[in-house]
Amino acid sequence: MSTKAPVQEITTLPDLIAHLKAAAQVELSTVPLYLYATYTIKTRGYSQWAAGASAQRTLIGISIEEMLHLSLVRNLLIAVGDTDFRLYDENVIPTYPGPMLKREPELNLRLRKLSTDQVRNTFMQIEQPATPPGAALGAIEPYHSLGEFYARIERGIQTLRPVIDWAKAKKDLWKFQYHRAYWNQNGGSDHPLLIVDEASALQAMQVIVDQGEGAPEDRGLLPDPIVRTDDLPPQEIGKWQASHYMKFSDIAKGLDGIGVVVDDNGKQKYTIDDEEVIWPVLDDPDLRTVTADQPVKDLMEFSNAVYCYVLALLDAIYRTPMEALAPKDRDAFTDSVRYGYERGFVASMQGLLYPVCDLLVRTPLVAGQPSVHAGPPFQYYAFETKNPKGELAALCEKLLGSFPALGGDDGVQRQIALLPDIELP
Amino acid sequence: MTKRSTPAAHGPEADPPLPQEVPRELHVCMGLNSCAGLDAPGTAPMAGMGTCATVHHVCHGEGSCRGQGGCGYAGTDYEQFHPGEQDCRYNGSCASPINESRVFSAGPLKGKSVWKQARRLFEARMYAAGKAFGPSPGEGIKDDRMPHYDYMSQPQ
Repeated sequence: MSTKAPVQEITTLPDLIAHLKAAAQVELSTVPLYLYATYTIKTRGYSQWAAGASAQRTLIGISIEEMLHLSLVRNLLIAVGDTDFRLYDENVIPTYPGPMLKREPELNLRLRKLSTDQVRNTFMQIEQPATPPGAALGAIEPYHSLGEFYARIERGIQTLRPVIDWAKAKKDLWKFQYHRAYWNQNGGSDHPLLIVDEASALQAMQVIVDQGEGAPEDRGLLPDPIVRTDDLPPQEIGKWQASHYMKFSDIAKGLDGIGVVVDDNGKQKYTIDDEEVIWPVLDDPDLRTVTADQPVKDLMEFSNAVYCYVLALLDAIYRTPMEALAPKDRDAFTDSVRYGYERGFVASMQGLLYPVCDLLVRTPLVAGQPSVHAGPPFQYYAFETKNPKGELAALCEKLLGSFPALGGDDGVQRQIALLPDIELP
Repeated sequence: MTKRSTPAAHGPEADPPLPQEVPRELHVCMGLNSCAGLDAPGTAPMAGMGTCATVHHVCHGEGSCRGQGGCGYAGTDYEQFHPGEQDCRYNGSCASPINESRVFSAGPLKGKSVWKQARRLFEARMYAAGKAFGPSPGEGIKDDRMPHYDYMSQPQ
């Protein structure tokens, strides 16, 4: 006898908001996974002699697109009237290992080094295409694929047409959404959309689903930017991108490799499973249980603090409105707190989170035992004050003796000094 | 008296620039002018002491002349290594001017300051040319100084 619950559609605004908050958590839960694997690649750049894109560049592009999906979900949350959602929240930040939220069958998300197993059995499962036509559809909660989950949200947006105050979104709430400061050298050309009406809301959901797992029956090859059309390929666009699922599939097959020259037989010397090119980081680092030298544990805790600062800064962006400036008023520059937050946010990921994580994966957990290296746990860090920047500076200062690379005139310490001085709510 | 728009804001609704408003040298940030008076306001006492960029553009590949790439947000590893030193129009990587917290997102200097690399390249050019240069007034524009190309208006 089937135990599946009847299909549950979204019929109220609180239900839509609850689904969008869950969607934000799902999107957030993928980013550390992909970044963790990316950080473990020792090689930099890609040989001009090897074919295909490098796994590293592909993974970076996918990670940035997951951030795009997170911003689209949160923009929609703002547009439908929820301005209270926070990422820097112990109940929102995902823990690893842990089940992917509301997914059926359960998928355990783990922080692990890059490997064929991790790509095939975790990453490809996350982005698994929608249930094929004719297969049994499950209940609304849980879902079988992200496409199924977002399709439910799309229907909810249309059902709630008389309820959602799109006029308010267009008049006021757009100012709180994320729109600027997005670049992705290794991904599609879609950008964070301002969501101000039903059409832009549905377009945002399409971007999330199609970039991730691909549109229904498209075989993983998508127009760039995302548009759904029966006319494939859409001749007026002419650019293509692969879905995340297809990109991961190419990595698993070795088509997008590690990026070293081939040997005399024309074979790539290394794969993503070779220890020569992948740092031997531990699985699912947990600050509470890890056995490591104290400075290494302190560095892991610092990475948690940096990660949480990044999330808190993103929260600050979403509660600080953009200025509306008519083009004819434009002077060369205008002072803008919100703009400073946006610039600081990008810099905190590239100039703070990346260098700290990179330092971790290069460092053995225990000195003299190079077989297992440290990694960023991506855990909640409880700031003790309302001033996270000051706490980051203090943590960094404490680590300089053990990790001098954090200092210098172009290191993490300098970058912290340039961060926006946000105040936690 | 009619108020003129600023020389750096030559949008469709701006007045055409006066001859003295046209930059005599194109560079992407403070401290990168190659001679006295060639910075944006024309007041730099000598090379390397200018206060701002003479070109403003928003993103990758939008520089309309050589040397205009700001770098750091997008672009290939090679492109990103050369802020302010691209060989040709459209070769440049990313927006100008360079803000002070901007770091490279790719390439050999990933995670490191874009402005500092631009200044290193500038100083190398000055040494090669045998020209004296002075200290920069800063290491990029403040992050909260929003260039006009990023202004946003009410959605219609």
